[in-house]
Amino acid sequence: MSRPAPPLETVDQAIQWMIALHYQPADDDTRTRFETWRAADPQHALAWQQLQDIGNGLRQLPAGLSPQLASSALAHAAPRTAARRRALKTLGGGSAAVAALGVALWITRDTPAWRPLLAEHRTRRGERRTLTLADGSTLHLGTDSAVDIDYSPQQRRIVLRQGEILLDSAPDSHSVPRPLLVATRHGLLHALGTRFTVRLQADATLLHVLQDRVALHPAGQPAAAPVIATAGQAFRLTREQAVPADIPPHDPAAWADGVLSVRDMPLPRLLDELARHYPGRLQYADGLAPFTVSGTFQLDDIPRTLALLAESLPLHIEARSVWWRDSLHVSRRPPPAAPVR
Amino acid sequence: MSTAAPPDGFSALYRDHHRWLHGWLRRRLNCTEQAADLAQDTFLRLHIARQQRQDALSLREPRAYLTAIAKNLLASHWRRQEIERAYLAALAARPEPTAASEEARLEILQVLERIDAMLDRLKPQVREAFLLAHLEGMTCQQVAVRMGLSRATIERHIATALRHCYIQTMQG
Repeated sequence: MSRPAPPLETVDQAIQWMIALHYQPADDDTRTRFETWRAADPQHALAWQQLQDIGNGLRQLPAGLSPQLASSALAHAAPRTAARRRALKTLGGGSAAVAALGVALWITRDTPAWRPLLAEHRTRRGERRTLTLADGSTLHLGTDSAVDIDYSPQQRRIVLRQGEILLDSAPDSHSVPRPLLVATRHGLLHALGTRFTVRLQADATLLHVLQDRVALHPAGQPAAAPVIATAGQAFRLTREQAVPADIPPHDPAAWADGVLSVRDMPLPRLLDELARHYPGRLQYADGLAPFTVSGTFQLDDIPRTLALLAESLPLHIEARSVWWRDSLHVSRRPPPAAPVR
Repeated sequence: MSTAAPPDGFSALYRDHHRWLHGWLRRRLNCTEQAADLAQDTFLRLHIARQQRQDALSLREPRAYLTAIAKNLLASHWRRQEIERAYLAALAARPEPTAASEEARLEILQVLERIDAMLDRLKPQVREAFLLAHLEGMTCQQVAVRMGLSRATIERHIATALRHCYIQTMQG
């Protein structure tokens, strides 16, 4: 896959900024100079973003593995022996053996352990991120999401592998404007100058157009004419077809601002949505369906959001800590106990 | 029901070389079960590779291919053992008691392996400086004091490590 690649000199500059800003106390002056550098060239911003992502990727540790523990284990693992590496390099000398090595390395590369690093940008549950793409488009990456950015001379392609995005597209500055495409396993979305959200679910890709138009191409119907979605419309794309979908009872782009804005939403659906943004586990009991809610809810502090909900609804919020992960449980508050005689 | 061998002759390959590969691995591992696992894994990977690039793998020397894959798997296997040993040692050195489910432990080891692969081939000193700064969040100055090196050296080490990670990732 071709990736946008800033020159290595730019990467080295970005690294120097990273050292100045991340690995030591930085003053305002340094930060100002850094911002000037970053804004000076989209390639600067891109190199910076890529480095950030790599750095964050290395810090994504599972519960139960503290950074100190990881650091200490990795620092004390004996170095891979030179002999063993040499054994891998000299497999007998024949060209078949060399070709075989290529195959073997290629296969090892494709093991699951590598995959998280291959998606170019990803977020954890509860995390959101805003990326400025090389053409000036803005990509908001939602909770627990992963995209590959694949910009080539022929096209601007964003591969949504998981989760959801909000894309604010910019006109292409190339002399021959390149199409801007969002690809999912269900098909292609061709942006026609526009702002829209895409959410990938197991069975379908959900599109919500906020501005202008988007053309939908189901993956399994390459010859069919595209379906055009216009502002305000929602579509459901499967490999076979693109059909209009119900407008969701919440603002589909509000998550990019860190909130969930809903009107008359059944409480279990609201909790399902909140759970997607909560790094711990959020569960709820039966019997909450009769409640509907309207309002704007903060996504960055879900325990607090639930506490606020419990002020207006008869809810009982229980925080449990399963030894490595926070867990919240929502249920109906029991009616007040009868007074003791 | 037709259960004919796949047209690519994979069954024949398996029949002709599985026992030999198992022996080859057993001599290196001194363990029949591990050797059997790795032999399975080797054939599985060969099978996947053949499906993905049907033309490219002409198997005039199947044993050369098999040993190439197996050597790679062996190297990963040994590395995984070393990482696990280092992890258990680090865990034992912690003051607080810890317990992890088998599933959690596998996930932890997998992540450690991934980071280890990313930092592979960095000099131990560079690696340690980077781990202290990046994972433990020490400043360059603190790392310099801890490792008894100058701050400029630490900064250079971190730059080396970041550049290495960048190139590794972009080539991935």
